Amino acid sequence: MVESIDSPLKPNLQWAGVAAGAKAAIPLAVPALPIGILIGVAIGESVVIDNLAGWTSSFMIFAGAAQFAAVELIDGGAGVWAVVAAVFMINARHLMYGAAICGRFSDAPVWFKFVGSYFLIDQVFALNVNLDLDIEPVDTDDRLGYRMSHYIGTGAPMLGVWVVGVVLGLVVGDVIPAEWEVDFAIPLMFLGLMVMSLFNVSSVVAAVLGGTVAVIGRDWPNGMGLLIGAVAGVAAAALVDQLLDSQLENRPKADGASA
Amino acid sequence: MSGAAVWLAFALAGLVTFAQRSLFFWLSESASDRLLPPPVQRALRYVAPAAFAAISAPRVIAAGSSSSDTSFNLLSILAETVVDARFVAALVASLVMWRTGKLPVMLVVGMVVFWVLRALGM
Repeated sequence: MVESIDSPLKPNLQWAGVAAGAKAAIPLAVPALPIGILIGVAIGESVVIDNLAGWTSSFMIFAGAAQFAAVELIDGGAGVWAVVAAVFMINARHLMYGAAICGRFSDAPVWFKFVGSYFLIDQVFALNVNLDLDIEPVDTDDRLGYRMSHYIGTGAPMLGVWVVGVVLGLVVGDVIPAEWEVDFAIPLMFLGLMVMSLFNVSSVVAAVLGGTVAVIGRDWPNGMGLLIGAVAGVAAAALVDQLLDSQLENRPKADGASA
Repeated sequence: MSGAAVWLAFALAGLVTFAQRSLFFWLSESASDRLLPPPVQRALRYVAPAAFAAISAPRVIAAGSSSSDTSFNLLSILAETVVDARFVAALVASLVMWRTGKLPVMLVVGMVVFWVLRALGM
């Protein structure tokens, strides 16, 4: 604890940031509710998993796809290490999320690094990684504090909805008729987040390749199609960036490189 | 699996997930500069489009087919996809997202189109 309490660099939580984050998270939290209910139903139907352990796994793992896989594996008689290995593979994309977002919080206090790591789900990553572009107000002198507040504002409602959804599934059961196919809201939501994240030609290449590989690898074990698709998309986009850069260099100077 | 083993499996799965999410948060500035030099930083801007496309595409494109099917080829995927309510709804929703930039609007339009097409027997 070297830094003094009244140091101007000490970031403070700001209600405006929390509120802006929560507002951005609502459309993502709504589609998560029926999926939480589905997992709750799966836990309730399992004879191997007791309800308390299953419900607790919602905030121990806090990743829908991985939790679903863990529940199904345990229910199907898999061992502890098989479950852990599967969750490791399914969630490996979070390593990339951490790498992509950590730079915005390198000066954040230790408590935030715990909270921030815990909340780093797909949706929170999507809503916070490009914060500078359009949401972050320029006139605050405590940008880190605003970022932290916004981050928590997006993470907390997601966790709340998730935990409540699983409880509903456990207690009330299958309330939503399967033929409504409300689970389609989830791919739709990620599609929207994808469109939101496109900003140049290379990002389109990343999305096309990532999606194509994931479709080809849809039946690969432990979500490998998703992981390999994501990595391949990032690599291809970086390659396209390099090609475009070298083209620019070979041409007489016309305008500055666009960001 | 015994009751205790179930708890253990969930706890370890949670720890693994937390470790994956937190690893880069704890790097010192010098370590992070070494692990994530500027070219890597630039590449990481594409994590969001690549990952979100990889999450959504398999559940939108030829959502009913399996890559282990013998008929799994480009033509059959295309033929199956263009008449699939999921794909059509996703296409409309993407256009809405692109034009409006509003996720709630995109979700509502996408689900309504999807349900209407399903009701029409698509």
